[in-house]
Amino acid sequence: MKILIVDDSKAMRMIVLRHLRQAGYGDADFVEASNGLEGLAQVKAEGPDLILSDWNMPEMNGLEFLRKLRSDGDDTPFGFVTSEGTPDMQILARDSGAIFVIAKPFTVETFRETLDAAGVA
Amino acid sequence: MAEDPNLVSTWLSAMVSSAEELATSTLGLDGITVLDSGLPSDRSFPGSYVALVGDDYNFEYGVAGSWEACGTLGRALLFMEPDEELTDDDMADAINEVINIVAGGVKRRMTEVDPGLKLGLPAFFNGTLHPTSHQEAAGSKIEIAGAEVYLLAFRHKV
Repeated sequence: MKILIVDDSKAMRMIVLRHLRQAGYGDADFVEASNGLEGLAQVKAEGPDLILSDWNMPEMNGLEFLRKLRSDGDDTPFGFVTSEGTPDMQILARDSGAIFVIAKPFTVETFRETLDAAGVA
Repeated sequence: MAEDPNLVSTWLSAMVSSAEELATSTLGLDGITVLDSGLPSDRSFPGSYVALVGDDYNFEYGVAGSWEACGTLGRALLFMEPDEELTDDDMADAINEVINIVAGGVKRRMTEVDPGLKLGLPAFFNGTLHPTSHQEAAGSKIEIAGAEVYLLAFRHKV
């Protein structure tokens, strides 16, 4: 399994990666991008099985990234890991094609339960 | 929300609660300790600041402390050992993420008060924001992950 982590914060990419490993995804291959534009390039280059993206990022934010993917016909499973955890943002995310939203701050258990519920193998 | 949203202290209280959540979840700690209230007298602290702008309420939120304290908190967020080398870039990135998470928690807690709240992108700099007569400010000194830092809330009066 290949997982793309998109976040403008190197620190947060590292934290997400660490939590994924502890949540049982230690055997996955991880690739990274620091905004939506880089994310689009990584999707084409790497063909990830799952995308975890921040929402607020420079250049191209997470919502624009998701909408661009879907408008291009790419249906790679996509989840947000974001500080934008309000109910309205969760609805907007799901209506745009995200399968889950993990709000920061999170725990290893949050990742495990959310990915299990989303059917991510 | 029982507290008055027109008081900057209410928003600072939400910030302290959000910092507690960060400590007990991602950092895996028992919690934080509130050491003092009020703004720091020292105005040369490094720290990270982010805007939280709504229809009725506009704030800058910050987390600031000594270089040593920022390093301690940054290492905690990155799960580094206390003696591990942390570059200035990585420290700034980590402290930016701390204020991003904390302010996101404030937004979540206060969204019923102002559904239009939008979170900006954080910036790290050395020095503290200086409130003018058009702004109100409040602060709490806390201990989190062994670091003594200030949580700061600046409200722009409308």
